[in-house]
Amino acid sequence: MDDGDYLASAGLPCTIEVGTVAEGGRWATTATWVGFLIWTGWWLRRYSAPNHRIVMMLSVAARPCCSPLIALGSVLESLAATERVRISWEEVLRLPHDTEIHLLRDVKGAASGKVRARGKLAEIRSLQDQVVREVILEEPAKFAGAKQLLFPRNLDAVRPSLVPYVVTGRPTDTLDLSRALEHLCPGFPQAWLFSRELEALIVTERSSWARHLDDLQLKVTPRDRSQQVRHTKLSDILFVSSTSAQSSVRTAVMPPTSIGQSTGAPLAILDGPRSIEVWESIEAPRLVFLLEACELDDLILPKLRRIASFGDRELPGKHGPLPRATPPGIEMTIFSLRSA
Amino acid sequence: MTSSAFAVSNAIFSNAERVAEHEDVIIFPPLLELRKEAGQWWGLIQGAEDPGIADLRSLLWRLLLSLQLTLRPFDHPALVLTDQLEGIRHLAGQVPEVRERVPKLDSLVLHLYSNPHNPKRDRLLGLLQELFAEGIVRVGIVTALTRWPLPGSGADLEGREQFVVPIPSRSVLMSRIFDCIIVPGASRYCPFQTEIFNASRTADLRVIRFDSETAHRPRRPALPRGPSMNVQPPTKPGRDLQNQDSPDTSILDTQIDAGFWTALRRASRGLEEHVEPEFRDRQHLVRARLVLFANGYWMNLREDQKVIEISQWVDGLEEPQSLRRFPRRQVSELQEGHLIVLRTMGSGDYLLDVADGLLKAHGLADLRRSSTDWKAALEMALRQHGTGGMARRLRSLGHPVNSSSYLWTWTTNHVMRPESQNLFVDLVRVLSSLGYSLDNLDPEEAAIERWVGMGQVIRYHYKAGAVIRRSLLKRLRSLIAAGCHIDTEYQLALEGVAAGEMSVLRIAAVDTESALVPYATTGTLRQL
Repeated sequence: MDDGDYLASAGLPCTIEVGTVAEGGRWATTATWVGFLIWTGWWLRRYSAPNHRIVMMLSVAARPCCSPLIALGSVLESLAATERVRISWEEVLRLPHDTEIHLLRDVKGAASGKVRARGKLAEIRSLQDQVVREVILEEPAKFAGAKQLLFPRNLDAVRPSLVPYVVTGRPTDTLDLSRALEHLCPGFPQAWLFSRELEALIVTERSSWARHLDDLQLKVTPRDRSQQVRHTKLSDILFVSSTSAQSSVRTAVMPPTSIGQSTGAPLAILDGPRSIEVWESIEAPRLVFLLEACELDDLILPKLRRIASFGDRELPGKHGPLPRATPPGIEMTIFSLRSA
Repeated sequence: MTSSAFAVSNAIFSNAERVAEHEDVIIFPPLLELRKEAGQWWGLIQGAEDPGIADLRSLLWRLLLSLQLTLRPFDHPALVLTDQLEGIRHLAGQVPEVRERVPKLDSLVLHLYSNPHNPKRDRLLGLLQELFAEGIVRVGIVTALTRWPLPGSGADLEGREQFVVPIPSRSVLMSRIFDCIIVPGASRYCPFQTEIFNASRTADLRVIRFDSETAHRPRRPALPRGPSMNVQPPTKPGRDLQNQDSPDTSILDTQIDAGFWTALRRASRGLEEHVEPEFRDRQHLVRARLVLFANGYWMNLREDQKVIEISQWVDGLEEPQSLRRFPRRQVSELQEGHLIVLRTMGSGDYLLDVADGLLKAHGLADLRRSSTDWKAALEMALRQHGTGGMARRLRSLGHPVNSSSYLWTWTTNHVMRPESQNLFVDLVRVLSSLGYSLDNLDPEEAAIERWVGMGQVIRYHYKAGAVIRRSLLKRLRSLIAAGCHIDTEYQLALEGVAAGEMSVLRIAAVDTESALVPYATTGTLRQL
């Protein structure tokens, strides 16, 4: 990581580059600031510390385009994490009684072609000479109390997972995106595309935010040279409400004046000085304070110092390696706050 | 093709990596001598609180700074050296401590006047030639090195102007990427000094200053260290300029800067300090901000007011065709470098004058006077009984008055009348009970007659607003399309609108504090 390849620790099976439609073909292949910002989102999303909020303060030379890159990092980790939480048969047997489990079945005639279910793991027993594990269903309501059996041969059909599935539509309009995501995370669960879970909340007052994002493209080059290079719009990967072709919103963008209710996002990026004013109203477990160096003035610095003064001396838990230096034009401070 | 935000960001991060700061210090004994002499004067009159001495300090400092920062020959009329010296002589004649030093100051300044060759100008022109020869074309020169106007600002660059972008404001600096930025002087008073040195808008920053100017590089803004960890980019020693402040000169500069603002605030706040607190509610005070213009004038602008601000268009940051509605800004959001449109000739409000012209053309010349004569009666009542007394009387008639000072706004033309007819009728009743009868009519009858008249006047205000808007937008668009650059001021005559004159004025500084000032002191341009 110290040679400037910040994304190396993310272990991606491909190289990613960011560029714009306007500059057609001029890709920021060597821009370390791009890789670093993607890394920050990836690292934050990967790192969790129970009963703590992780705060990352970033001072950057230029703010436009930074928050989408951080959000991209978060999405990359989310993709990989979703893959990690699909459960193998061995794990099905190992998980304790009453563990909540989510299932997704293909059902002809259903509006989306799929039906999701939620239940709790129950007894392990033998049925017709094979070991099965029961799931006591809680949802859909009409099946509440019913038993679903899990056994090695039906795992692909019912797709047990520790995270919920949300089905919103058929994946007909997502082919390009789906292929790019496949490069980023081979074998990623298609269900990820249809989840309504928020990946990030971006608080910004910039009216130009969406316009800046609309220009940005991601170029994904698989390490396996036999596979095709894929381009996709960054706004599609982030599932931004106004710019994405998808019906679901994964990256919520709000002005600071509209913050008022909890969004449940795992990561909040407070983009700019006015956004930082509302940090106490945001419940996300991971917070990024994003400012340009010249915005660190006598009004904002005392507020940042005050927030930092509440921080713990050590980062709790396992957080993985951190870089010894940031790229030129970026400074980073990280600490944790105990949750109330 | 306009660069995308990503390409611009990429260039800025690249500048952050490569940036190098160079300083060209010009050894120039005549100015160093003048600086020492000013220091002597300062030492002799330091601590004296007399307003005359404060003015003397300001004039002395202005003289020194105008000579250090000018890019013109020292005998250029724009420096008004004779006038500057005359002002100092006049005030120094009344201060025994410095009276005897006047001839020395005279001789140092006159030496510069008779040897007008300005070496800083030579260095600047030489550097520009060097840069152009190397094919460097995106060159910016910082033109606002102080937060107030100085004599001798601006310069003739011998035909190189078209290749150079003047940087008069933070917004112009932040909107572009430059191959090179030239700072022609010590920049400690520049309102966007932090951005010049730390915003990475160039990788090549050149400072040209005299040895008599105090070098000052703002600190690089840094995040709080944090209790757990702080990570920074690798440092490259020697790429930043080092400060060479000597304690005495730094203190001198800081005190003079503070003194300048203190004196100006004192003048701008006018009567406020002379009014006993118990009589405060008997004059109309409004919260206002002191705005200093690059043409050497200042004005108190009401903080709740919005003004037309067009720097984005004139400075080429927005396309001319996007100027469709008046771009307005709250006074509290104004910054140095903004260009605002103000009335500079004629009396009263521009809108009212145009509306009155329309009223006259429709045979209603007297309508405003006859419908708003109650305002004068209300003003007299407020002066005699105070806002508290008037508000109590209105409350007793069932009208909740949340802010009694708001009653003053009804005496102005900014608010034509109270929000409801019932409230207005009761207001006229109260005035009548206090002896301010409007005419021989019954108060209710008099109030209703005026209420109807004011409604008509308001309709003419709307018509006048539309006429002004059309004409002003047309004028501004043609001004912008012509590529007109405005350093300090531009006069606007509106076609088909006969009502005084308007000007576009460049803001040099805005006071960081607002203050309560008499309403009568707002909206009037005054010379520094």
